Amino acid sequence: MADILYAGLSFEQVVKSYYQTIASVCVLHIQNDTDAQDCFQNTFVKLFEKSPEFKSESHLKAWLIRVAINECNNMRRKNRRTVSLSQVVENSVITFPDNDKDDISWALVKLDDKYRDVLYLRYCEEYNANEIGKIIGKNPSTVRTLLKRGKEKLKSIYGGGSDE
Amino acid sequence: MNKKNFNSISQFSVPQNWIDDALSIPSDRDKKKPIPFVKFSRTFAAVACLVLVCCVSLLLFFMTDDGAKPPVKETQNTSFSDVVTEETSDLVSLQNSDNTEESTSSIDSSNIEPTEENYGDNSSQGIKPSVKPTTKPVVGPTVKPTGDSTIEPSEKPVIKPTEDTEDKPVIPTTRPPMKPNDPQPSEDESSEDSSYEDPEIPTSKPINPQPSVDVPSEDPSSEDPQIPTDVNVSFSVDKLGGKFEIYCKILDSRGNLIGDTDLYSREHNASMNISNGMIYAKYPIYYNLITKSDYYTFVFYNSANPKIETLMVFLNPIN
Repeated sequence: MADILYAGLSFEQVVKSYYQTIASVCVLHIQNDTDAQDCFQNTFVKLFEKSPEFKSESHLKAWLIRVAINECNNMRRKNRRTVSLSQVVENSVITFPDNDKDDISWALVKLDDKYRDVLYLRYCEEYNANEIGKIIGKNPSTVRTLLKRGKEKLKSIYGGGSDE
Repeated sequence: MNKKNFNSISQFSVPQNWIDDALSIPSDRDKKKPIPFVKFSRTFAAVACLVLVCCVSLLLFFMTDDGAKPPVKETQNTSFSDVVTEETSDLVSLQNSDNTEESTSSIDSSNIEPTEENYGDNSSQGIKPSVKPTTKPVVGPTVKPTGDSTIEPSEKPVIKPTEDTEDKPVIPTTRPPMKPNDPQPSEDESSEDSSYEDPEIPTSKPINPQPSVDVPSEDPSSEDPQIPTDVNVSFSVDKLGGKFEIYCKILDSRGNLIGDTDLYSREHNASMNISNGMIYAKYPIYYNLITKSDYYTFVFYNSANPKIETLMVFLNPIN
């Protein structure tokens, strides 16, 4: 199985290259350590099982992000049906340190999914609107609209000014 | 101006076990080789159940089909009549051969003992016609010295089975077993059969009265002897219940009544004679009512006893 290459990278290289991105996506969507880890693992399991052909590393990264978002959505949908509130409280919740006052990650996780994804992809992964549209399956214009509204909502949450 | 950031998210410190688990995915997957049919286990289980049900259904169908073959078809070449009495619940094949001797012995109704008191004799003497006839006369009418036209013992072969007489109607009789050393038929006795409409009363007490179907009353040489015209039964006078009247109804194999629904109409009226405490009843077979080959049950009754005697006969109206 080590012979399989993903855009010229072995599975181990893929994991070491993109574990930070995938983990961030998972934590952004699911602030639960166990479930986030499951989504993280499932993303790479999908990669290993599907073994799709990638044109480039950017294509590989976009594919991993898309799969991670889907896994998180599936996990939340599953938890909505099966997990009780008491179980959620008992589970280990990922918290964000508040030593950096400019870190507004806590506000980002409070946004709706549609704004949160585009904002994360735009400002953390530095994708443009076209690339974000390809990843999340929306038009670039829609992505731009979501970005604009998302920033406004984010500001309303953390109470910031015009600076990013 | 401080720039806002998402460092906590983008620089999330990934636990080492997450990375280790992800790196171990290929080795784990190699260990877990896919087991055939596991992925679609439910589908395969459903298909297997369906196939099993189909096989069992086919098996039952063929088994039932074999069991449901009509007796006529099974014995088409060897038997043309069967008689079953409800009291003994025994199926008696009255004819089972191509030669005269065997047919005579098969018609020998001395081995047919429908009554409960004679049930043991059935088992001891043998019911099937293929059994060697006994020399011991059993049936009551056989001892009649005056020659009853219908039930007088006759050693002649009453039925001469031929190839064109296959599937003929039943001709169960109360004839005694034919002696193997005397298979010659007697002409005078066959001529006496024509006088059945006014049967004489047996002078001696019958030993074992039993229901029977009369043989054709005409000369066997001039008429097909295998078509019964009457059904005869004999039973104790006590069964009448004080009512000196007797009727007979015909039920097909499904229990449907044949003929008039008024069970006490003239159509159901049976004739009877009394002798030595025994009733000899006769009921004609109306072949215009018999539309198909089947087992027909003749139930003799009256207002005091709804089931005096029962006789099951296989009739083939085609012939």
